[in-house]
Amino acid sequence: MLLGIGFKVILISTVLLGVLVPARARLLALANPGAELPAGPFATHAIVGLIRPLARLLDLIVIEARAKDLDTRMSNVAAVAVFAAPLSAFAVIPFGSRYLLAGRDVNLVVANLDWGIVWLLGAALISIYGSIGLAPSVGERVRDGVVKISYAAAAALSLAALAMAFGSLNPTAIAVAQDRSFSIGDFVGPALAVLQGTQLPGWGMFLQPISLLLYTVCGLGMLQTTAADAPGEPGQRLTGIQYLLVRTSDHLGSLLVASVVVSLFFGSGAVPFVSGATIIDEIAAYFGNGLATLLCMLVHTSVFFAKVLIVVVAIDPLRRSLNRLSFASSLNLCWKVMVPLALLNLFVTANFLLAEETLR
Amino acid sequence: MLVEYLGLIGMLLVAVGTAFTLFSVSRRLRKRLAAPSGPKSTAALTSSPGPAAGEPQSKAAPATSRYFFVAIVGLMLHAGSFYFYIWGASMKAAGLTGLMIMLGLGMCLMVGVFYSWARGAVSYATETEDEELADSIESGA
Repeated sequence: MLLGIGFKVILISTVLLGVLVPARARLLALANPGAELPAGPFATHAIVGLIRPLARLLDLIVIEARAKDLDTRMSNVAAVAVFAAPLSAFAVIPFGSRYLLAGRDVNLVVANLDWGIVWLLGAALISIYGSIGLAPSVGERVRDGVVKISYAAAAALSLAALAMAFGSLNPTAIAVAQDRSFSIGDFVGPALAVLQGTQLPGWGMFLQPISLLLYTVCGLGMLQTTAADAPGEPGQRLTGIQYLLVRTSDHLGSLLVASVVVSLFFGSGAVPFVSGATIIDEIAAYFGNGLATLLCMLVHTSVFFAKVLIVVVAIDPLRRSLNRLSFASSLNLCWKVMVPLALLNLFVTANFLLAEETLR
Repeated sequence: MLVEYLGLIGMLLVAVGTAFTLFSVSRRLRKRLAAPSGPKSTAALTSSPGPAAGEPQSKAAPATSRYFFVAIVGLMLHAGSFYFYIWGASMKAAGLTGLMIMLGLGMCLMVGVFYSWARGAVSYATETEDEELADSIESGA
C-alpha cells in the first residue's frame, strides 16, 4: 500500500514538474521568443544538449534580488506556499476511474479523500495567501487579495452545486459516476419524443453546465496575474529562486484548473459512450481480465491527459482575456454576476433534485 | 482511511522538499560564485537593470477600507460555502428542512453581498476611476 502511494506521488510529481510544466513553458516561450533569459555563468560554460536546461536552471536560482522591499524570509515562505499549494492539489485529482485488479480495489488517484473538493479550495486559498505575501506593499496586498478571494468565493459555490448533483465531495467518486451514459428522455419526459432515444455521457458538463462555466472563469480568475504579483524579471523584486517557484506555480495553476475541469466536468479519463466495464469486457475476451483491466487503466490515463492538454490550450485565450480585465471589471464580474449566479444555480439544483426525489 | 492522507502528505513533502532543495543548492552556489576564484559575479545575471537598493520601490497604498470590506465579505462567503458543501453531499438525507435552513444561510450571505454592493464596495464601475487609482499609485500620491 505504502509502496503504491509512494510510486504514485513520484510518478505524478515527475510528470508534472518534468514534462507538463516544461512543455507549457516551452509553448509560451515559442509564442514569446524575446522572453528568454540571457545565459549566465553556468549556461555559457555548459555543453549544448541536455545539460543546457540544467545550467540555465542553476543560472536562475543564484540570482539575488536588487530591490530590498520584501522581507526575504517571509517572501521565501510565500513563494514556497504559492508553489506547494497547486502541486499538492493534484493529489486529489483522479486520472481515471476505479478498477478491480486481482481482487483489489485500485484507483488512479494519489489521495482518495472523501472531502477532496474541499482540499482543492483549501489549496487555492493557501496559494492566494502566498501570492498576497509576495506583493510589495500593504495596499497592493489587499488589492490583489480582494480580486483573488472574490474569484475563489464564486468558484467554491460553483463546485458546491456539482458536489450536490453527484452527491459526493470525493473527486474519485465523481469520476466513477461519470463513466456512464444517460438518456435525455429521462429528463424531458414524453413531451419531446424526438429526444427519447438520445444518449449523452453522464459528465458534469451536461449535468452542471453553469457550474462548468463559473468554475472555469473563476478558476482562471484566481490565477490572474495582477500588478501586485507579476514576478517581473528575476533579480528585480524577486530572487531567481522565488521567480522560478512563482512561474512554475503559474504553469501548475493552469494545469490544475484544466485537470479539475476534466476530472469533474469532462468525465475524467472516461471515453464517451464506452464505459470502463465495456472496455474491460471487450479486451478480456482475448487477453484475460487482469491485462484487460491494466489496458483499460492505460486507456483512461491517456484519455485524461489528452483532455487536459486540449483544455489547457482551449482556456489559454480566456485566461489572457481575464488578465486584461481591470480591477474594477474583475470585481464587477465576480460580485455582480458570478456569485449571485452561483448561488442561484446551487438552489435551482437543490430544488430540482428534491423534486425528483419526491416524485420518485 | 487514514492511509489515504499519506498521499496528500507525500505530495506536500515533494513540493516543500523540492523548494528547499533549490534554496539549499542556490545558497551553496552563491557562496561559490561570491568566492574570488568564482567564474562570474551573480550581478551580471540580471537581464536588465533593476531598481537600485535605495530606490523607492513600494508604491503608495490605495484607500484600503473598501478593499478590506470586500475581502471580508469574500472570506465569509468562502467560509459559508463549506456549509454548502456538507449540505450538497448529504442533500437528499437533509430533505426539505435542510433546503430551508440553507436557503436562510444563502439569504444571509446574499444580504452581505447586497449590503456591500449598496455601500459602494463593489462599485468600481467606471474605468476612469480605476485609471485614476492606478495613476495615484504610479505617482505615489
